[in-house]
Amino acid sequence: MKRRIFITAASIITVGLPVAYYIGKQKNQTNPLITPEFLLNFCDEKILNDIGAAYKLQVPEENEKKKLVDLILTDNKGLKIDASEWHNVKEHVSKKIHEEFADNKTIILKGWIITITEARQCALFSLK
Amino acid sequence: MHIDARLIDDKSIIEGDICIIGAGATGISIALEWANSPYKVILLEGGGFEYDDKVQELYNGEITGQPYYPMKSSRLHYFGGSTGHWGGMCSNFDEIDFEKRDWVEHSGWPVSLQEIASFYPRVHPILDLGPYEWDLKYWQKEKPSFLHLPLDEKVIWSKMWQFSPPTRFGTKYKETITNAKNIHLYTYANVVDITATENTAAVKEVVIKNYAGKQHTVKAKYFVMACCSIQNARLLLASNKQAAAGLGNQNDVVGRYFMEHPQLKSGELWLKDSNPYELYKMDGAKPRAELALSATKQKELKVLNGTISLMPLEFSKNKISSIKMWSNDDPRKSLDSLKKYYTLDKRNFFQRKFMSSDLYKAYGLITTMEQAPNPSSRVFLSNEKDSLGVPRANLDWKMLPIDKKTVRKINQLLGQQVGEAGIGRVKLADFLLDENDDSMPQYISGGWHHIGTTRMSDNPKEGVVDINCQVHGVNNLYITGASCFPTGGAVNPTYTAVAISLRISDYLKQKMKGLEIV
Repeated sequence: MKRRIFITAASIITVGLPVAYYIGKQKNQTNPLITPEFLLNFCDEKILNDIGAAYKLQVPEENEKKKLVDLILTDNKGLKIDASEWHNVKEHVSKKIHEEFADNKTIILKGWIITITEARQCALFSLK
Repeated sequence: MHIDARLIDDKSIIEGDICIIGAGATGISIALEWANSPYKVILLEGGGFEYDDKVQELYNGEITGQPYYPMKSSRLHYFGGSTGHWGGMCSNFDEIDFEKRDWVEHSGWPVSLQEIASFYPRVHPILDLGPYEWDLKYWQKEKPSFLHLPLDEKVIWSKMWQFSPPTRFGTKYKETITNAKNIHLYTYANVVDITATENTAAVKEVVIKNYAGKQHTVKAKYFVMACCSIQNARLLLASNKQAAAGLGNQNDVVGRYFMEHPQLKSGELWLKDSNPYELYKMDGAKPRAELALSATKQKELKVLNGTISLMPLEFSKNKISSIKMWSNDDPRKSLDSLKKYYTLDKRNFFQRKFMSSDLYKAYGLITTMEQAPNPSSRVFLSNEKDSLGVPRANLDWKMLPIDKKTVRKINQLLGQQVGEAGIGRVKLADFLLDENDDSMPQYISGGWHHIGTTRMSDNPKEGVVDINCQVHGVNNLYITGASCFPTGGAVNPTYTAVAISLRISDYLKQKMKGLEIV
């Protein structure tokens, strides 16, 4: 009996933990709220963290996860989008970033010219 | 015909219809226009046909402002002038460059771009340029691979450049000039004084000297100074026997408003997808484009004209400021150092090309910009004299806050534009990050473009020459070249300097005909 428990536990640990870790990691990588997808084309995690930290320093009142999430999920008309589906969020963020560039709502952090939404994504990324 | 001024009798008196001082791009361009005409042209060149260090030394001087290339080696002092080492980059001025801009103090040309541009087509064969076409669409039709960045043209547009081979005037035009019977080219004929009449209303003669100890006098109906911005100013200021402040300097304008095209690494462009963008590639031969700030945005942001060129980041990140590479007093050594660097870097560039598939994903941004006209940025006389007894020039190159603002704004706009287009992001260079810092970095380079110092203006209090490039108050003295530009635009000056020379030439031909009629 003890042997069976040991084998079961060992199996769960060897197979289950990496799977859980992998799923968690995947979740983080694809979460459009904390993933400035476009910037990932040329910025590594360290740069994203640095940008995020610089934003939090510059806008300390937004140094809080919930606030950042709310601001990212609110569109340019002040309406909050349905965040239950990630593809909705992704589409919303992408549209918002484009609109912000068009309206010149940009910010320069660590030299990078990005939009406010991208800066908030980086801030969230650095808080994760 | 060619005469070596060292070999003729001392104290010779040379006479002609028109005397051109300086045989560089602008002086030779004028002389060519008069070849085989009924007029006797005296073309004076301080050096010979080859480099001569003793003659080159006459250009030595002092630098007291923003660090600059050594005075001795930033211009060449022999037949053909600085075309002996120029890069051949040519482009046309924009309309806004000629306008009076209320946010740019001392801006505005007294002539329109159309007036000057009407001479541009004639410049093309002289500089061995391609067709007189500056429209991007024309070149894209010629070369379908010339794709441009999908930016809003009302904000940032692609401005075309063409390349002269480059034409070495000393080689290409030596035969034509020396074979023309009416052109008397005097080499080793350094003008050391422009002697005016007592009332300074006209030039009586110019005095030339050389190392052989000979001194001669040249008399002509018209004199055209074509010695480049620093030397034109130096010679006027040093010609102070009849006018204590210097000839044409009754209003203290001679030597002022010295301008360059400040050039510096200003950031990085990171693209989502790798793209070699043939259109912007610099290979020194084929036409190419730079990203230019639109006139509308210049007005809106109250900044100067400027362009950004793209260079693969792998190549540009190791690029040393040209002001550091061109640091030797001997122009040959400075040129060697520049060539060596580019050869080395080219080799690395090709090595990297095979090593990295992402070579064209990241570009270094190099901004070249117009410099605001600034009376405190100037050439004045040093206390030291050269070996022919002429006071040396002192260059005090100075910038204004609007210069820095322009570099910052054009790069910020590019960042906004590539972001909006969804093609990439821009990262600014560190020196642009502090909005309150309007100082320029020490390593800033220039394009070896000397502009201003005898600027054109209707008003003698604001300019040295009038719209025909005649020195105010001195009725037979003219100046040509970039020293007459009231503002310098953002493009290399040679193309427009030669256009201005042709305009002066036409004007003087008319005057000469008028004189004969009278």
